[in-house]
Amino acid sequence: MTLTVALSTLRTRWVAFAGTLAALALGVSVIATMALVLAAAGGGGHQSPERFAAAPFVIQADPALRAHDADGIDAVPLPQQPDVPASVIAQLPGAIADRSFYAQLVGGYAQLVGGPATGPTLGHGWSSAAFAPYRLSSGHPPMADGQIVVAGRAVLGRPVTVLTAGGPLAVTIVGTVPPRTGEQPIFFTDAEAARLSPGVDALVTDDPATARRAAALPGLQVLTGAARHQADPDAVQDEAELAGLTTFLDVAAAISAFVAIAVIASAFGLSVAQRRRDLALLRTIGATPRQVARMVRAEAALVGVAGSALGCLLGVVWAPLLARWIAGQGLSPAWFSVQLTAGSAPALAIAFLAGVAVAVVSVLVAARRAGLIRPTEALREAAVEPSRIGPARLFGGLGCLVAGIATLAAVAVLFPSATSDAKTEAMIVLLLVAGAVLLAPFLVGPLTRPFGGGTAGMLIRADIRTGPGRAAAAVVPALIIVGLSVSILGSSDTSNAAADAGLHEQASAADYVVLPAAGTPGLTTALVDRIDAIGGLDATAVTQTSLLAHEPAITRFHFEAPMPIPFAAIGIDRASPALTLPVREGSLADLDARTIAVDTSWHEHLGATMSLWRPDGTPVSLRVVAILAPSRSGVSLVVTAGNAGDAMPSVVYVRLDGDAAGAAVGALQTVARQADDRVVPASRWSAAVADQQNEQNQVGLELLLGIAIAYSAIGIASTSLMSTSGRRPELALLRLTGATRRQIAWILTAESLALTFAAVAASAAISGLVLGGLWVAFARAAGSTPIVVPWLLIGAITGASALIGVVASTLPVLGFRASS
Amino acid sequence: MPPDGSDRLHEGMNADAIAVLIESLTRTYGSGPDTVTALDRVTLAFPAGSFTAVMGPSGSGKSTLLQCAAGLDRPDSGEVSINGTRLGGLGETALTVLRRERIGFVFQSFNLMPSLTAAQNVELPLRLAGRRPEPAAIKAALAAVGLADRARHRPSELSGGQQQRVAIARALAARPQVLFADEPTGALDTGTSRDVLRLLRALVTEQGQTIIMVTHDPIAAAWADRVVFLADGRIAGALDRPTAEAVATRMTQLEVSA
Repeated sequence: MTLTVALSTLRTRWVAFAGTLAALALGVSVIATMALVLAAAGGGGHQSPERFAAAPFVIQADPALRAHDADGIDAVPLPQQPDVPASVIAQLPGAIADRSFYAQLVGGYAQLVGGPATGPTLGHGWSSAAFAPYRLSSGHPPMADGQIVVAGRAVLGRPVTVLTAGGPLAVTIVGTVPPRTGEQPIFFTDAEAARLSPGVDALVTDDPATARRAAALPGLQVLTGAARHQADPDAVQDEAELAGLTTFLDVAAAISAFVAIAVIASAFGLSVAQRRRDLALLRTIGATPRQVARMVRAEAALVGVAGSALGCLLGVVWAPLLARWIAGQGLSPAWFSVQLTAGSAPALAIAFLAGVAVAVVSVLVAARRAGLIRPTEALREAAVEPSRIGPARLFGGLGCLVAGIATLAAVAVLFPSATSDAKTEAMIVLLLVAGAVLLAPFLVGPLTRPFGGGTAGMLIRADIRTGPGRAAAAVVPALIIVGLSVSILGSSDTSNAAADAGLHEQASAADYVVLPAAGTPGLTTALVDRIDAIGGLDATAVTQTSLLAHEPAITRFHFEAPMPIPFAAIGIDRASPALTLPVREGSLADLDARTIAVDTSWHEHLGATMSLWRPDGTPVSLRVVAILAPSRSGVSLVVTAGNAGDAMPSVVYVRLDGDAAGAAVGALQTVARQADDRVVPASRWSAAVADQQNEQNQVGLELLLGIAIAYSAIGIASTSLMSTSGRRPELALLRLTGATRRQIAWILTAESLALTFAAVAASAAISGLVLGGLWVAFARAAGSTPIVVPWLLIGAITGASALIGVVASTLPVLGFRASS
Repeated sequence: MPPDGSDRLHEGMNADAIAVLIESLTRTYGSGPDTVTALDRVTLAFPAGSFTAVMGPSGSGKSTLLQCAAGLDRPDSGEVSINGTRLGGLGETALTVLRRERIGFVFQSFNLMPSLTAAQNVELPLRLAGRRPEPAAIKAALAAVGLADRARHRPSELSGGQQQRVAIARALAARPQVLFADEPTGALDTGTSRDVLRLLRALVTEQGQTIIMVTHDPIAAAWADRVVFLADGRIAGALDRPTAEAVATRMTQLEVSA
């Protein structure tokens, strides 16, 4: 029965119905898109093995650190794939050794050899060719040092230079194989491969007995079937990219869901508020409070189901497009895509249920209040909202604000390093914005006070005072857009600036920095050695890496996390005046293979021994020989290059000795030019240019904000439209009292602008808090950092919000007549 | 009239014959120095099967009296009883149910659901009560007000008088014990007003319906059995078997002495 009445009344209020339906459908589509992409990212690649397709059993060292804890075995993925230990090789004599190492054709693989440029370029021993299998298409296999076989088309006998971690090699192409996706290989003789990269990356065998013996040995994994793809070079890279993408998508999904829910709830609340007289009428005719509440809920469920279904359909359309964009931007492996299979059903179901749940929950409170409407309200001429906003909303809003501020304070003062964690940042911003959204009805009045002048101002202020819920609904989307953008963009830009500043600090005493050539992963050992050989300068190479360690104890009683986690670290050749590290106690001169320098966040003292793991999982015990002040670059551990794993140095800091400066510089540039590496004066070095991770984060951020902003813009438009069309009787009355159409348009414009101003003011307060907390955190951790606020972008977003609000508010009035 | 404003006419009446009994009803609005007393300890009895008009100058509290008597509003103090059932102790839901079953209300502004047809409007209270009325019964209800041929029309397609008659049919559909009418002819022209009043009169005379009507129009009041005058929230007199001139004269006296 209630459904019939609900359905029939929908016909007369189709604008409000359309508004809420649109808000819900789009919100659910955003959630569905995110869920589908997240599901695809979590599912991992269903790729078939490439390098080892013809090798039945592939034996590798365990790529994760495992330990027993209370619930079983926990695993932490290692930053670097460990080598197969020599002892194991001795125990499995029949297995063939496979090696993969950095090797790059000078001049470009694709340019010299042709073929598709997919995957990293890697060097192998020739026996590895049989695993894929690669079969010779021309020439002969490498038979001596200096002979290589490549994949593609090449002129045989052609001399080329190959860059390896050790330095450049002059070689000749003696044969070719057909190219395969996944890598661009360079095959050396087995002996030369063993010389270039002594470590064995995998053992391959076709004997089941050997495989069984290997499986029984600790610290090994035996891959067969589809699992062999894990050993493919791109798989490791893809894993890392997908892990990063998932983390980012988690935050993106949380923010999108929050925005969607806030906008949908506002739209529904507004829709119910506009119908108070209709509902009071039903009460006079004989509907009990429960019947009225049930009707409102039934309507919401109806709109919820229809809107969610529509939203899921839209999500199905958009998710593959988003995945393609993500892959195109380099945020994920190139093959990343969203396939719609039976496995997508859970993601869509979640989005659908979320939409219906939000629709019903957001009217729960409104429905209860609808039931409390007295019948006499239908008999009154004026539609004035009850002046009390529900206590639930008040306490909820205050609760969120308090929680947000408390978390911010805790992070700023106690855990400054957490400010770089995207999830913590997102949570703080969301809590503060949620608090502001819930408290919006209380804030609109005071925040629009400056606009009280003039006729328009009088009407605006009175309107807001008697309808704070409606005004709040109009403010919420703008508040979300501006609040989120300023906070998130501001903190991201500030963090980037701080990281930059940290790196510049390191280089402050250097005269020059030597950077790798474009397209190479780092500086070769040969180059570093040659720089060291130049007289008249002091140089040290710095390698970015990460070491595993247990989290530092903050208080005496803190719970130690059972598993070690990776921490950013650098490996250096030696202490050098070229590299500025803020040493508080001890000396870097004592740094060697058994020692380490840590910053104060570790709360260690000189002489203490720390248990750490190298990037490949080897445990080491290192003695603390220096304590550093915290650096803004985020690096807290300094070790020698030997403990830093296989990564190549990313920069060499050079400081001239003063007397022999000119000659030294000349020699430096000659040496660097041989390998196309760049020598840049330290003052002109901008680390951000070389940081691809930063760039990816920036793109990801833009995606996130783009979605939130687009959706909020729709929210602004729909609530403004609903609001104005619901006020038709009131506006008609204004016309009757003598207002021209232009005056009414001006009043609506002014009100929209006033509300946008309120949103901006509240957002400014929130962002001020967030950025202020960030400043405090940085100040405590590493010294004061200037706060970067992207004014231009924020101005553009605010302007666009204001424009959308004004247009959407005045549109219904443009075709307006007094008789309506 | 007795100075305390109570009406002693119900003394001597058979208690069972009282349809609506109002005892010491008080209703105020606002607080502090701005308090407005709409009703001040009003006591009144309406016999069953009677047609009573409640009249008074604006601000006399007559609409408030009607709304409190019909259970649409709650008084600050005092008691309302409909055929022996006290309204004061009932919760919102119970009060609504009682209104649905025993009270009909006709408003000045018709208050029909604009999206429903005349027939759907008439049966709405019954359906809200969970009953499925016979289509024939609805047709009969509309026929009784002379609108059998307009059953499928929406309010926007009906004239003011027709809408008011649909509202009356709606109020009568549940066969209420008492019908309250708040200025039922206020928005109608003289001819249509007469038709509506004739209809109401017929209900009382032929079917023994109890009707309590608030009006400011002496001609409308003349159709009633009895007129009760209200001024400043208190009873200011009554007139049995009223004529329009007598009512108008009394009203003028009240307005002048206020």
